[in-house]
Amino acid sequence: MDKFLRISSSDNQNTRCAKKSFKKNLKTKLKRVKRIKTKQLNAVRHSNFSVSNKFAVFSSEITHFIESNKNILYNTNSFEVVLDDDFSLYENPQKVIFSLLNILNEAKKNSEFISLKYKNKLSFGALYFIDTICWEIAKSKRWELRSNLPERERNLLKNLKSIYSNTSESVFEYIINSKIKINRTHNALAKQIHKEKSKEIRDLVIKGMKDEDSEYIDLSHNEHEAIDSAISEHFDNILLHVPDAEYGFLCGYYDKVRSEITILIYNFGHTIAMTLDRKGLPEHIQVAVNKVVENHKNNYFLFGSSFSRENALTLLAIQEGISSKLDADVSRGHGLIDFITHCKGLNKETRIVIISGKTAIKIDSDYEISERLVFDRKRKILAFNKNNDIFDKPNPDKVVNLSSNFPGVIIETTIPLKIKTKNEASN
Amino acid sequence: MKQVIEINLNELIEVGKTDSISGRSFGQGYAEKIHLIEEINLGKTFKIIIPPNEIKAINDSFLKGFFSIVFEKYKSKPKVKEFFEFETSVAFLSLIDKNLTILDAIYNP
Repeated sequence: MDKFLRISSSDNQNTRCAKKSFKKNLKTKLKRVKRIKTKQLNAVRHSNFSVSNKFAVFSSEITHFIESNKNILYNTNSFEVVLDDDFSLYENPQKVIFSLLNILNEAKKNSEFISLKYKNKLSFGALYFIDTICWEIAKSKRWELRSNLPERERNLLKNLKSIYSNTSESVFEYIINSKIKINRTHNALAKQIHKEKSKEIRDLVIKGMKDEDSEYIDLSHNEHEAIDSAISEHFDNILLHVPDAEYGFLCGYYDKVRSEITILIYNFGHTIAMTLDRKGLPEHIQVAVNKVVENHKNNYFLFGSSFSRENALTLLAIQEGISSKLDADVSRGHGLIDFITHCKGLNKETRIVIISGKTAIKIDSDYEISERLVFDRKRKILAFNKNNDIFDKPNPDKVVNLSSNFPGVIIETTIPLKIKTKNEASN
Repeated sequence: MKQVIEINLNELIEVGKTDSISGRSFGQGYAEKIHLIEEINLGKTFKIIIPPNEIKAINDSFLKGFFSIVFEKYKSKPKVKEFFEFETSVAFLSLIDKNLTILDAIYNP
C-alpha cells in the first residue's frame, strides 16, 4: 500500500493533498487502535480471574503501608511465617508487622504462596492480619496460604474470611467481623453501625457462655461496659481524629475454651502521634507537648533507638485530658484512658496493645493508672515507669519503638471473662 | 414548684439492634436536641430514666458530652446535680457520679 501512497513527481496538487490527508488519517486511526489494545491488555492483567496474572495490585492503604516502610530489609525466606508464642500483636508487634510486609513483598515478586508453620500457638490478632493481607493479594493475582495448622486452627482460618463482613460459630469460638463505614453526616445523632456490632459481639459472648452448660447467665454491667467501651471509644476517636478514614475494621473473637474475648479494631490514616505533632494545637496542649519533648531531649531519653519523639507523643496522647480538640470542649481527651480503666478494672489479666506508626504500647497488670498532678491539674496517668511519671522514661518493653511502621491505628484488647450464674450476674 | 422534664434514654437505642449509648458528639447533640441548658436556665429540672434491662452500657464520652454544656455555665458538681434526678440502676448511678466528679475537677482545677 505504501507505494500507492508515495507522492511521485507526476502527481498533481490535488493528488498530493489527497495522499497526505489519507496518510494523516491512517496514522491517527492506528494510534487509536493501539491505545484500545493496550487498555484491554491492562484490564486482563488486573482481572481478578486472570490465572496467568503475576502482578499484585494493592489498594491505596496497603500501597501506603508498603511505601511507609521503604527502607526495610526483607527476609530472604519470607515465604514462611512461624507461628509460636512470640508471634502475636501483644507479645511481639514488630515481628507481626514485619511479617505482613514480608508477605506483601513476596507477592510483589513472582511468588504465589505463603506458608504458615505452626509451632505451638496461634494468636488470633496476628492470624487475622495475615488473612486480611492474603485476601488483599488474592484480589489481583493467584495466591495461596499453605499451612500445617492443627484441625482447630485450620477451621478457625477457614471461617475467618477477614475481608468480608461475616459471623461464624464453631465448637471452639465465635467470630464477628465487620468493615464499618464511619457515618460523617453533620447530624451528631446520626446512626453509627459500630453500636449494632457492639451488641452483636456481646450477644455472641453470652451465647458462648451459655454453651458451657451453665444456668442462665448474662454479662455483668461492668463486662457490658468494658466490651462496649473497647469498641465505642475507638470508633469515636476515628470519627473525631481521623477525618480521612472512611472505614474502621472491627473483629470480635470469643474463645469458648479460654472464656476470653478479643476485640480487634484498626483503621488506616493519621497515627495517634500525628494528632499532637501538628500546628494549630490548643495552646495548653502545645505547652504540654513542648514540656514533655524538651524534658526528654534534655535528659537524653530520645538518644538512641529505644525511645523516639513519636513514642513520647503517642504515650502522651493516651493520658487523661490530652486532646488536640480541647479548644472545642475542655472535657475531651478521656476516651483512651477511660477504656483502659474499664478493662483493667474488670479483670487485671486484661491485655491491650495499641500500635500506631512505629509505636506499640502494651498494657497489662504490670503498671497501674494513678492520679498525678501534672499540666496544672490532677489527671489519670499511665506512664509505664516506677514513679508513674510522664516526665520519666517509660519501660521500653511496654512502650516499644518499632522498626516497622503501621500507618494508622491497631488496638487489640483481650479480656478474660468469668462464667457466672444469674445471681452473680445481677450483682 | 419547679417543672420537671422526664426523658428516657431508651429513645437513643433501637430495641433489638442496639443496647448501648456512646459518643461524645452524640451526647452533645442529644443535649442540644432536648434544649438541656435552655430549659435549665428557665428554671426546669430533668428526670432521666435509664432502664438497665434495655440499656446495657453507656460510655463515659457520651456522659461527658451530655453534661459538659451544663458544667460550662454552672461549673460545680453540687450545683449541676440540683438540676437532675435519675431513675436507674446503682451501676449507672455510680457511672454518672464518676463522670460528674471528673467534670467538676476539669471545671474547678
